[in-house]
Order: sequence, then structure tokens, then C-alpha cells
Amino acid sequence: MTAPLDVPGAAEEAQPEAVAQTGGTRDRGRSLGQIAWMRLRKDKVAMTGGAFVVLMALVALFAPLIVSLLGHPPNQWNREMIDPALGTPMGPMGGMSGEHLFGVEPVTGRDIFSRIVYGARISMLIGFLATLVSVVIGTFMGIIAGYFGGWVDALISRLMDIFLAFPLLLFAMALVGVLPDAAFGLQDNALRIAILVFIIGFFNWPYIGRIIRGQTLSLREREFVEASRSLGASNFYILRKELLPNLVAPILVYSTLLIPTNILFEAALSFLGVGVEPPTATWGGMLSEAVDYYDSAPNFMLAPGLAIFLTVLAFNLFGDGLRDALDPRTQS
Amino acid sequence: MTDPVVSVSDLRITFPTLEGRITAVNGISFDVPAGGAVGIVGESGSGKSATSLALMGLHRGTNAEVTGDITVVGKNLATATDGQVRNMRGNDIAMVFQDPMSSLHPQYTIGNQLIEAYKVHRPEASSADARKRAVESLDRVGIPNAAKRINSYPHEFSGGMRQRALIAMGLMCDPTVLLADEITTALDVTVQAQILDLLDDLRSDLGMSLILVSHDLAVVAGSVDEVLVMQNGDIVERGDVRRVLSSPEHPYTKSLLAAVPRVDVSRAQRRAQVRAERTQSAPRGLSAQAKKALKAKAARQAAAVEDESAQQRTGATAKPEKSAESAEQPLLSVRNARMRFKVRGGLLGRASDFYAVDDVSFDLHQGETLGIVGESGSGKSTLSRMITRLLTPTSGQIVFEGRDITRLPEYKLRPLRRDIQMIFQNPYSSLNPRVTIGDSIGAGLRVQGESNTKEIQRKVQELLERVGLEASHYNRFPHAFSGGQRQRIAIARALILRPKLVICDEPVSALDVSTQDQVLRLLDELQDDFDLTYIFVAHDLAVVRQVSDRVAVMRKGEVVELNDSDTVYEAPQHDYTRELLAAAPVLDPVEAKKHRAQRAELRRQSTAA
Repeated sequence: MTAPLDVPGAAEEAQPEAVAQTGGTRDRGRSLGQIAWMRLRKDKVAMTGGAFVVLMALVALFAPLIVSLLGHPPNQWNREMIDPALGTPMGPMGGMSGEHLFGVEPVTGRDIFSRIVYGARISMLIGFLATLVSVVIGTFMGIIAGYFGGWVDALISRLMDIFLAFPLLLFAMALVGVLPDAAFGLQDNALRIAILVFIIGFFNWPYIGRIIRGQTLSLREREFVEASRSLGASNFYILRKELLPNLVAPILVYSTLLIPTNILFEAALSFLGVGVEPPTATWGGMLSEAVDYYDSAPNFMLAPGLAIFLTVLAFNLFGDGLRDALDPRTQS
Repeated sequence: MTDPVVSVSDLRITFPTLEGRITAVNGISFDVPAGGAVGIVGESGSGKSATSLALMGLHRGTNAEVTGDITVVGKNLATATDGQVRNMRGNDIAMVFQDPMSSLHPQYTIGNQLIEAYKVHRPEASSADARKRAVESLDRVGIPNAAKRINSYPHEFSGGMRQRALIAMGLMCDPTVLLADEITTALDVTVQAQILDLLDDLRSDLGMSLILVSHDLAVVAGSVDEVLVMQNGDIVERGDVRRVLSSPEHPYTKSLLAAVPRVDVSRAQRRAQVRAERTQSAPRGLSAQAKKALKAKAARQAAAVEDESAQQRTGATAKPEKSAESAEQPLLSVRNARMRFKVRGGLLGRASDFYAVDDVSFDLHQGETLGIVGESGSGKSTLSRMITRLLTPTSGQIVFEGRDITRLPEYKLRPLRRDIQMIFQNPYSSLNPRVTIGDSIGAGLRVQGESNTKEIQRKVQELLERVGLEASHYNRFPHAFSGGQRQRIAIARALILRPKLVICDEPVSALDVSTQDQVLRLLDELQDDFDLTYIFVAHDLAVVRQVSDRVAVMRKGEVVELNDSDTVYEAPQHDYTRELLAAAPVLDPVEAKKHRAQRAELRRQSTAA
């Protein structure tokens, strides 16, 4: 039975087999990020969305410069543009001209273009900061719940349920109602913005938290976590070095999808009058004022409406594209 | 001979990828005669699965581009309409898929799924007829009490039974050809043998043709008449299975055959040979001194082999070398180890105890390799995780170098982790996809307190070269490497701390045969160079024999047999070991037939008893 072992092709050292089979033009040093970028670049829709997002961010950042070049200060009244009898803007299309690109507001005659540009600052600022708050809390809680499991998971998961059941809008209105003019060393608009960021960010973290928890649950079972443990790595090391890098993709994707939700929420709060105080320009506030003039000055409503719509759409398109690019399961 | 039932000519299949079109199948032609059995063998990426999907017309509506002619029972697939192709599937050619766990719908009973398969093609058949047929079919594939089990859901079936049910589904419409794509890959050896026996019976009883696709030459050996060997989309060799396996012509077939681990080759033979080859081929990076040492070792080993065979001839059984060793203190000693899991189930979700590892004891000496074989669920992985203390045993003791480590807390365990390392089964999930391989390998040094980044990099690169990769691979991510290369990386990670004991948990079961052989050689070489002690866990009997000095056979959490490797394989004491050995696929078709008869005999005995 024990025949001598004569193996013809085996007289070489153990060699890695793959050098020969690589062939082709494939660059084997490419990181996953680079591959994702290649795929994203092919996605025209996502790239358009991304470009618009970048444009809006630049607009928000350079608002004073843009307005000084193309318009009038956002809170400056231009009574000469208003028909004194009707209170509506004079001239065609709600006063649109080279001087006032999007026309002027009824009654006050404020320049709509500059108010949209300044409104972008508030929307983007609150959208980004609130998302940041949600992501930081959500990632932290989610990764801890998913990794440790047991009673920690049960506790955090119930906490998430409670937060999700919270009547956020009512709470926001009540809180803003009882707010003093100055608190925590902040006052007026700075305080208002801080409160909005806190409310929106602090109550939205369970959405991210649940996703991160789920991802962590499946990552935790992977063998590389066991391998790391058998090397003697601490829990903290595993969380930071093994799990977190794998969570970057979902965090990025859900952040881009959460920002537009938060922008909408801020707009809704401003619309209801519990957002940033007038006369500071916000998209939601402008919409709410425009409601009374929807027939006489439709451009007043259209401008902030379109601004919100396009920004939110752009974020969502970009986020979807990002998810597809980062997810190895989708085939391009 | 009659007309072939399947005829493929100049089949070419390409897929689009980010890097342009790749060719999966590159103009192959073959025929399957009526009632004949053809095996398609190749490693992953050879195009065998793309071919079998093409036979079923399953590339329709995908990105794949298929050219060439496929004729199945007189119908040309290239010109057939979608309706004709649907009618052909199941009626003329039925396919059984690889994964019995995911190929059955979990929400329908087995019976429903069988009946559906029948009624799609025979809409005029009455429900009672279809049901009767389903029971017959289940009975045919050896499901006991078929009339009752037909109402079971897939989760109530074991893996082997599900695969049987899938075959039964394939048989519902009396197909002329049965196409089996890697149907035994997910199954244990004993179950695999049963399924292959079943296919053989069906073929002779029903006169079906069989196309058996597999990466494993030994699986194909006993079940087909003709074999096609595929490599990179081409058929490189074809012919009668006995001829191809006994005197292969193409170098690829030769190397494939050479790489298949053989259950009849002992550890000593293999090691002596590997060492001899190493000294001959004068490996780079090895000092003259090391070479001399190796040569001496090889010579000693060769002498030992001769000694042993001489002893066997004279009937002597004494092992002087072993008795000297066992006087020393064992490196690792496992005593009465048990691992209990709570299993929920039954009424009110009451938890019951389940012992994954039950009262296991053994000693392991420095430089030795202990093989642990067993089928899935035998507790071998649990045992290896207990030894690395990834799991804490419920009771019993684990003593490493005279120190009881059974209940050491994690912080006291950390320095000990240097000495006991583990190589994991799946090189795809054991490497973090978002961490460069340099960081993955260096992690061990970092968590053990080394903070000099240059030093870490130097050590990692040195080791990378030692395991057959390049130092320049340091900053690459795992996805840039093949399965075999990844397993080399995983090995480097386990060795970076210079452990004394390495537990290899199925280190080659996810790899192709030729890669498997290279990784096993590497492990052998490293054992010599770093003076390692291995625990080698695997389900493949042949692999375990070739690497182990002693072998423990596990079943249902217990070690049923523990002895010298040669004794276990040549004079097995326990019935279960004998059963396992009879089920192991063998390369020689004649031998395979003998084993099949032997299995039939064993079954008859057990049913009679």
C-alpha cells in the first residue's frame, strides 16, 4: 500500500503561486479607497451631485465675497424696488434683473439672491455640525454595543429605542420657546445655532448607531478579530485598529445621507419659526415668509424651495453613488 | 456508440470587468455519450463552473458573452428561444448546485419544492401524481421514511440530506443528463462518499448521463469514465479516467496529481523528501551551516524511515526514539478538557447543555506535530480555540510549559500569547481588508509593546521574504493577493512573535490542491527552521497524515482514537476511524471501486445489525 512517493513536478522549493497568474495590467498595489474612487468617477449622476455639494459648500464659505460682487447686503431694505401701493416688487418677474439676480422680497425689497447665499451658510453649517454630533455619538455607541454585546448591547439598544420614540419636533419647539437670550457663554444666533445643532444631532444618533452596531456585529465574528486577540491585542486596540477602519465606509455613506435630512429638519424648524432668529436669512424662514405671496411673487417661494430641493437631492445622489462605489457587492 | 447527449464545440465565454473583458472559457469542445459519465476537473478560475452554467443556458441575460455551439439532447442552445431553454432545464438536463444550505428555499417544505419542479414541466399532472412522484424520488435518493419527510422544511434536514433532496429534485422529470457542480465540496468525507455512491447507483439504475464538476481529482476518480482537465479556460488533457490518472501527459495534470495529498504517504516519507529537495535546490537566503544541519536532519529522517519499514517487515513495534522524548516535560498538556455551550430549544426555549468538547486529554512534546481529524461538529475547532484561550474551558486543565493557563485572566495571558499562535482556516476573513499586510503582520509586535516602527518594518519584511513573498508587498492590502498568498501572510503573522506552539486550524482547506501543497511545504520548512510544535486541525485525512507525527480522531467532542500517525492509518482501532478511512476519496479508480464495495459492505452490516 505504501508506494514510494515519486512526484515529478514537485522538485522545486515552495513558491508563491500567484506571481505567475497575476498577468494583465492590474495594479496590485491599489488600495480599496482608490478602487472606490475609480468606480465613483464612472458614476455620472453621483459626480454631478458631488459637484453641486462642493459648489454649495463653496458658496456658503465665500458668501460675503459673492454677495459683495454680485448683490446687495442680505438684510438691506431696498424700498425703491417695491410698489408702495401693492407692496409687491416692481419690474418683471418679481424684480429680477442684473442688479437683483433672483429678484427682491415683497414689502422689504431685500435681495433674494444674497439671502439664498447667506441662507446656505446656516443650512450647511447646521447640517454638517448636527451630522457630526450624530456620527460621533452614534459610532461610539454602536461600536460598543456591537462589540461587547450582552447587557451593554441591551442597554444601548433600549436607549436608542427611547431616543427614536422621542417627539423631537415638539421638544425642539418647546425648548426654543423657553430659551433665554444668552446661555453657556453664547448669545443670540450663536446660541440658537448651537441649540439646533444639539437637538438635531443629539436625537438623530440612533440611526447611525444602529447601522454601526449591525456592521460591528458581523465584523466581530470575522477571523481577523480572533487573530488579533490571539496576538494579545486589547479590546481598545481591536476597536480602533481592526474594526474602525472597516466602518469608515458605512460612516461616510450614512453621513452623506444624514446631512440632507438634517438640512431639511433645520428648514422645517426655521419654517415653524423656532430656528435662527430673523432677520438672519435661512431657507426655511424665507419659505415661511414667502407663503403669503405665492401668487404675487412666486420667485420669492421658488428660490429657497429650489435651493433646499437641489441641495438635498445632490447630497442624496452623491451618498447613493458613494455607497455603491464603496460596496464591493454591487457590480458596475 | 449512440449519438452524444451533450455536445459542446468551440465554447467561448467572456465576462466584462473593470480591467476589460476576461476570458473564462477559451474555445473548448467535448461530448458526453448517452449513459456516460464525464468529469470536469480544474482549480478555481479554470472555467469549469462557467462551462456548467453555459450547459444550462444560465448565462442568458447576464453580462457574459457566450459563443460556440452547445447541443443538449438534440437541441441547440445557441438558437433556442428562452421558452425552449426553460423547457430543456430539468427535463433534459438537471443541475445540482454546490451549496445545499442555500439552494433550497427555507420557507417551503421539501415536498413543495420537489412538486413545483415537476409541475413546471408537467402542468397537466395532478397534484396526487406529483406528490407520489416526489415521494418516489426522495425514496430513490435514500431519504428514510420519505412519505413523512416530504413535509419537512429544509432546516430540518442535515447537509447531506439536503444535498440528497436537491438530487431528488433534479431527478423529478427523469432528465437525460445530471449536471453536478462541486456537489460534495461543502460536505464531510463520510457524507461525500455516500453522495458519490448515490450518484453512481442512480447512473447505473436509471441510465442517466452524468457530468461531475469538481476541483478534486480524487472525487472524480471513482465516479466517471472520462475526465477533462481544465486550466485557465482550456482543456489541457482529456481521456479515460484510468489513463489520465495513471499516466498523465500534460505537465499541468502531472503537477496537479503530484499535489494531491495521498492518504498512503506517511509523514516521515514526506518530510524526508521535502528536506532532501530543499538541500538539493539550495534555497536562497539559507546559510551554509543551516544547509548542513538540514542535510543531517534529512539523512537522519531517511534512515529512520528505512528503520521503520525494516521494523514493519520484521514485525517489531518498538519506537526507541519516542520513549526518550516522552521522558521530558510535555510542551502542552490538555487534561480532561470540556467545553459546554447552552443550546436553546424545545418548549419555552429551555436551555440544554451541549458539550462541544467532552473530556479530551493529550500531551504534546516540543517539535512534534499532532494532527486532529474529525468531521464538522466534532469539536476540533472549539478545542483549538480552548488551547489558544480564545475560549475558556468549562472544566479541565490546559498546561503549557508546566504552567496552568486554563483560567489566566486576559492581562496575564498577554505575554503568553507570544508562545501560542494560531493560523486560521479562511485566509479571506482572517486578514483585515482595510489594513495593509505589513500592519497586519506587525500588529503582534505592536500589541506586545514594540514601538520602534523601523524595527517592526524590518522584522516584517524579513519574514515576508521567508514565507515566499516580497518585502515590497509591505504596504499592499490583502485584496491584492491570491488565497495561497494570503495564507502565507497569515502564517507570517502567526510567526512574527516567534511562538513555540502553532495551532493550524484547517489552514489549507480553503485552497486549491496545488496551492495547498505549497503551503504545507512551507509549514514543514518553517517547522525545521523555527523549531515549531504544531497542532494541525483538518478534516482531510490525507493532509493530516502527511504532516502529523501523531493523530487524534475526534467525533462529537470526544477523541475516539489517539495514536502514532502510521498506526492510526494502517491499523485503525476504532470503528469510526475505519469508516472515515473507507470514505476518503482515493485517486486510483480501481482502488476507488474497491472502497465503494467496502462502504456498501459496511452499510449492509450496520443495517443488518
